[in-house]
Amino acid sequence: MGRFRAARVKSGGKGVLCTQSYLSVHGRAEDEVMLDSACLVYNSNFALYWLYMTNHWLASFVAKATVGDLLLLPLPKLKARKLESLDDFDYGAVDDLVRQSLGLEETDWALISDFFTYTLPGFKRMPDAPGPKPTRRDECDELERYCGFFLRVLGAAFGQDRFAATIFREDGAERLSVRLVAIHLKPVGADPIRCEAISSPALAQRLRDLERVLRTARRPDEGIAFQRIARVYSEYRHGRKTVPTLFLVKPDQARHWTASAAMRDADDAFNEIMFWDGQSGGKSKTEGP
Amino acid sequence: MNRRGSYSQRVFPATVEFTSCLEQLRQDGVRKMLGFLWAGYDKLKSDVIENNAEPTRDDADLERDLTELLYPHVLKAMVADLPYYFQHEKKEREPAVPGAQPPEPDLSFVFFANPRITFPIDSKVVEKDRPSDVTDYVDTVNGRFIACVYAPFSTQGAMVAFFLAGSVKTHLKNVGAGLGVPLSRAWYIKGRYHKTSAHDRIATACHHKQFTCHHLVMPVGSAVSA
Repeated sequence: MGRFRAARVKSGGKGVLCTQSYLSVHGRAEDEVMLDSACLVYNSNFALYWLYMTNHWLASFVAKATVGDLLLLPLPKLKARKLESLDDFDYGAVDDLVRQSLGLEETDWALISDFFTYTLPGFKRMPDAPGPKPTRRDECDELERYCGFFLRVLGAAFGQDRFAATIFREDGAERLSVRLVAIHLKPVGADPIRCEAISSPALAQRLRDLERVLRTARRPDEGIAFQRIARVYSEYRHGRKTVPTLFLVKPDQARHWTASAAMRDADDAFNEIMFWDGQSGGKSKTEGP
Repeated sequence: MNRRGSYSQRVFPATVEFTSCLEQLRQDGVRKMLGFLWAGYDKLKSDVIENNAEPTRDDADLERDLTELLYPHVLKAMVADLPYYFQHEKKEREPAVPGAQPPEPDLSFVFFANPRITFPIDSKVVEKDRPSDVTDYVDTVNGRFIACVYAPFSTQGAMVAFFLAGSVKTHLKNVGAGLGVPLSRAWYIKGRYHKTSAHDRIATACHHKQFTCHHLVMPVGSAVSA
C-alpha cells in the first residue's frame, strides 16, 4: 500500500513534460518554501489519509485522486533548516516532520498509522493484511501499544499515574484464540504496563470457554457490526491488595488491539465510570456528569 | 416478581473498594473537566481582559461575546487524549419540540462514546452582587437544568457567572437564596470561586433525578472582591 510520491524539479533551463499520471505545479522563486512544503506533505502518509477521508474516489474500485482533490491538501509552514536535515527517501522522518509541522498530536498520528497498517490493507483485501493475524507475544507486542493508549486516555480524563495495565500471556506453548488485558483503576507496582503469565488453570479454562463463545456463528439478526468482546469490571488480587479492574477479552487478532481501538475502548470505560450509579452499591453518593 | 437491578448493579461489583474507587474517579473526572474551563478563563483573562478595557454592561451582546471568547481558550487548554470534546452551542435534542429549534446550552462537554450525553454549561453576565442581579441566573438553573431541558441524561451541569463588580461571597449567597438550596460550604476546586448545589429533579424528561449544579464565578471586572 504505497504513498503518493512528489519531487522538486530543479530545472536547468529545460522544461518538464509529465504524463496524466502526474500533477505538476510551478511557483515563483519566492514561493519556493511552498513547493518544498507541498513536496513534503505529498510524500507523507498524511496525504493519502487526508485524501481517503475527504475523497470517495480513492475508496472506490478504480482508485484515483483528481487534481482538484490534490490541490485541497493542507500545507504546513516549513522551516527550511528542518527540511535540509532530511535524508533521501527517509519517509519515517518525512512523516515526523509533517506531523510536527501540522501540529498533530501523537494520538492523531496513531489514527493515521492504524489506518495505513490495519484498515487500508484490510479494506483492499491484501493477502498479507496484518489486521486479522494473531498478535505477537514479545516485549513490544500490539497489546503493549493498546494498553499505552488506553492509559493515556484515562490519564487525561482522571489524572496521570493512577492507572495501570496487565497483559496476560499464555504460560506454555499453547496459543489461545483470545487475549486478555486488565486495566487497573489504581496503580499496581512501579510499571504502568506489566505482563503476567496465565498460570492459573482456572483462568486458562475460563478463556478457553470464552473462545467457544467467540467462535459461535453469527445470528442473522445480529447485523454487520457483529463482534464478540467481553468487558468485565471485577477485582484483581495483587499481593495483599485488591485492585478495581476492567478486564477486556477480545479475539487474538491484531485489528482488535490497535491504538484506535484502545482509545475507543477507553472512551467507553470513561462513559461507564462517569455514569456508574453510586447508589447501587456501597455508601457513596451520586456525582456523575 | 423479581426486582430488576440497574445497569450499574449488573456491571460493577458492589464492594467497598470498588465503590470508593469509582466514586473518587468520578469526582476527579468532573474536577478535571471543569479545570479546563478554569484554565481557559485564566488564559482569556491574561490574554484579553487584562490587556484591554474591561467589559461593561454597555457592551452589546456581552454574554454571548464573553462566552465566544472563552470557548477557544478552553479548547486550547484541553489535551489531545481526552474521551470528550468541547462544543459551543450544542443542541440538546432530547427535549426538542417538533417544529421548534432544540434548546442549546452555551457550552457543552460531549462524550465521544455517546454524543447524546453532555455536560452542559450555561453562562450569564452578573453586573453586581444585588439579589436582583441573579434573577436571570436562577431562572436558567430552574427552567433549564432542573426542568431537564438541559442535561436530561446527566447528573451534573454548570453555570458560569461572568462577574462584573461586587462581592463573590454575596453573589453566591444570593444564588443560594434564589434557588432555595444551600450551596456547598467548601470551594469545589481550591483557589477558585466554584461551589455546587444539590437538587432533586421531578420532570419526567429527567433520566437522573438527582442533580448537582456547579456555580463558577469568573471575575471579568476589576471591582470584584472575594
